[in-house]
Amino acid sequence: MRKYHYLVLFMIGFLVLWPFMLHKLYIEQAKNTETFVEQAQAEGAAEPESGVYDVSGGEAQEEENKEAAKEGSSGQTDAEQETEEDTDLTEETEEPEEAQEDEEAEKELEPEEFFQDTLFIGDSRTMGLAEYADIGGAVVFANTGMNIYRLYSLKNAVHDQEPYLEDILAEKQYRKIYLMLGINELGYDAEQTVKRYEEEVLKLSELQPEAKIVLEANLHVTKERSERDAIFNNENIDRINGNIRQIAEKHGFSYIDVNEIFDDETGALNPECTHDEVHVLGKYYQQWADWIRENGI
Amino acid sequence: MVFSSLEFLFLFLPLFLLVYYLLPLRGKNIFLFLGSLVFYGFGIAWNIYYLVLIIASVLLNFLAAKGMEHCRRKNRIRRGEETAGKSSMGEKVILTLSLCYNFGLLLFFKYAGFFVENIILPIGISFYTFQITSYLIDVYRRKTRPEQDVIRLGAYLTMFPQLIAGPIVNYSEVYKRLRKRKITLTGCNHGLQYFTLGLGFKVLLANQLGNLWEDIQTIGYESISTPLAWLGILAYSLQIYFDFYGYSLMAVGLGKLLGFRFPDNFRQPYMSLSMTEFWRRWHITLGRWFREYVYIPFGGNRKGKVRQFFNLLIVWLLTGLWHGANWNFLLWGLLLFLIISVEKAGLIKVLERWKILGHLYMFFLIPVSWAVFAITDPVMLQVYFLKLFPFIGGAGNQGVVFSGDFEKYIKIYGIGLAAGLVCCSGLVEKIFMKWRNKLWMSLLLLIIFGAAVWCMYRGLNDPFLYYRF
Repeated sequence: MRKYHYLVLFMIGFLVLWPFMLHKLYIEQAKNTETFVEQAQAEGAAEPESGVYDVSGGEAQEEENKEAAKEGSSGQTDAEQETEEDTDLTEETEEPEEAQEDEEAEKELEPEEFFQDTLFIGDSRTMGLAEYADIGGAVVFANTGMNIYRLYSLKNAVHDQEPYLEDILAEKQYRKIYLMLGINELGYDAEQTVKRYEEEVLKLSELQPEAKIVLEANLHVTKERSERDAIFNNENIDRINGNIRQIAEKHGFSYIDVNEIFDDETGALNPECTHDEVHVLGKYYQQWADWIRENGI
Repeated sequence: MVFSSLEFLFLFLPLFLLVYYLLPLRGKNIFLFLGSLVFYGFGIAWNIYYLVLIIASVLLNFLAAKGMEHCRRKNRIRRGEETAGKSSMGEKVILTLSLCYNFGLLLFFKYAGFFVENIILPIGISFYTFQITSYLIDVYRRKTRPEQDVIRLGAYLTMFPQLIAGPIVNYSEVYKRLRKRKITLTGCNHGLQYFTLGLGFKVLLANQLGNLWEDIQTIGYESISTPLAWLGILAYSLQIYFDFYGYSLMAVGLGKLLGFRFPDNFRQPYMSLSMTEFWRRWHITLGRWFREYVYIPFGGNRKGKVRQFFNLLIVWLLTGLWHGANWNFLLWGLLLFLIISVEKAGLIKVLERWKILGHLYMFFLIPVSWAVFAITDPVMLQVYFLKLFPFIGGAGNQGVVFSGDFEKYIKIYGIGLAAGLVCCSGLVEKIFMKWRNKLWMSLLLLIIFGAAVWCMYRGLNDPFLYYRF
């Protein structure tokens, strides 16, 4: 018996685990088939979901339908259009007097002062910004996997910064707060996430009444990744970005979309800018920061 | 299908073993052949051509060996006993043709990628080509008898534990056991122990350390600091070792479960004192193949110093090319040739005399040689080397660097790196061999198995279990 200890223990352990693992494999299998069906649907002419982020109403919808009828446009082209519209709309929503004054005020600042009294909140992409770009003096609250549901429970992973958002917000009054969240939430129910996002943004503006709040669109992933992934794909990212834009419009916050400098012609993250298909390479974060400066928002 | 996947561990393996143990010997061999083809089928996503390719390899080489035997017999009858030891013309022709076929296909698939896009290498072709050619050459050299049963040869070539990543088993090593093997509880017990140890190395060490190397790719070589560059290449060195070593251990363990004994593929290579020694302890069955079928037939060291260095050069360039169709593998082979030549010229005596010096020398050379191996793009390789040795060229070394990066990543991966370094020393194997029949060792192994399964379970795409961005 002594000689077969492990054999016996292993068999017991194995038999205990077996049903769970088979179940897991079964779920994975089912999920893969589902993805396959979804993709097949998405490749068809009209997508049922595209209406969700069509807030701009009649015109865009019509145009899109025309497009779809004309050449059976894929999800990708829709997404591209959407992004273009996003930027247009952003400029429009920035028109109101308040915002203009703000912008004028910004312009007077020296480049190195631009990010003073600024707070960035975000996930691993914002972490990259903190680590690889010069955002002189800005406070950053970010962590890999940061999401709207755990804003106050997750710790800050950025070097030399306060660990909890609560303390960071209590510490001082910021002039500007940038927020890029939404991709880690894609696994959750979309409606739930949007609701929570709105609540959290309103709470932020309540806690920081003087701060100008800038909601950032989430960065795209590459086309290849997008096609492979049932959850973290550009269609879902564009949808949540659309929702974020709506929230911004509704409450008069600013909205910016950095995808315009990193997208390729298909409206996905340019594969040359990334290795893992999700994050831009270290050397590109400075472009992102400069882009914010140049746009003066 | 890799060994460290839930599909293999909880679907293929239990079903396979269940049937396998119930069958009589002849049935076992047939089932092993068929089961291995199914295993292979999963690995190549049921690409029918690749499946045909491996079956053709079995059939053609089976016939080639039989053909050689036939020629030999005819020759003996015609010429009488005095020519018995010599190879006839027919044997030579058959050997040449079949070697051309085997290596031709290997070359085609490895290097067609240079010219045509979208050619994917059939998994394991580098391994099974080497294995089957070793059989042919051994038959030709009369070191082994030609197999009379195509099923047995098929089982030898496709045997799933060693099919896709070695060890490269010689036919003579499994010859007896293909005919007669006893499967004992002790054997299975040991097999499971080896398998668990290998699984632990692969999943708990290699995969975790691989993340650091992956993180460095994500940042981009231009934006890492010199300390992080060294940390990264250290992590890569440990990853490639535990990945490959773990896989080989799992293969040995699975072999024992099936009633076979496979040769060891690794013997604590990172404890070597010289590169020469390293390559006798790293991927042993590959080194053995090159020695037996290239180096020695070319004359080895028996034809003078100049010829010996030439033979070494050939062996190392081929070793480089075997690893991949990319210029950096040639450069890597050349680098190893240079290092080993310098050692042969006298350095090795110094290194073996002062062991500390030998260890330091290897502690430096191992990661550096892996860097040349790991980075396939020449421009990127240059960037990485400028990061490793910033004092070489000042100009190429610009770019934003996050000064806290070393600290950040050592915090995340420090424990894994330390564990990896300890496991390189052979301490784990010593402890394991000494107390492997103790209950506590069994419990420890069970914990390792559980942890590995948990990692595999968690690693599947489940957006709720962990956040990635």
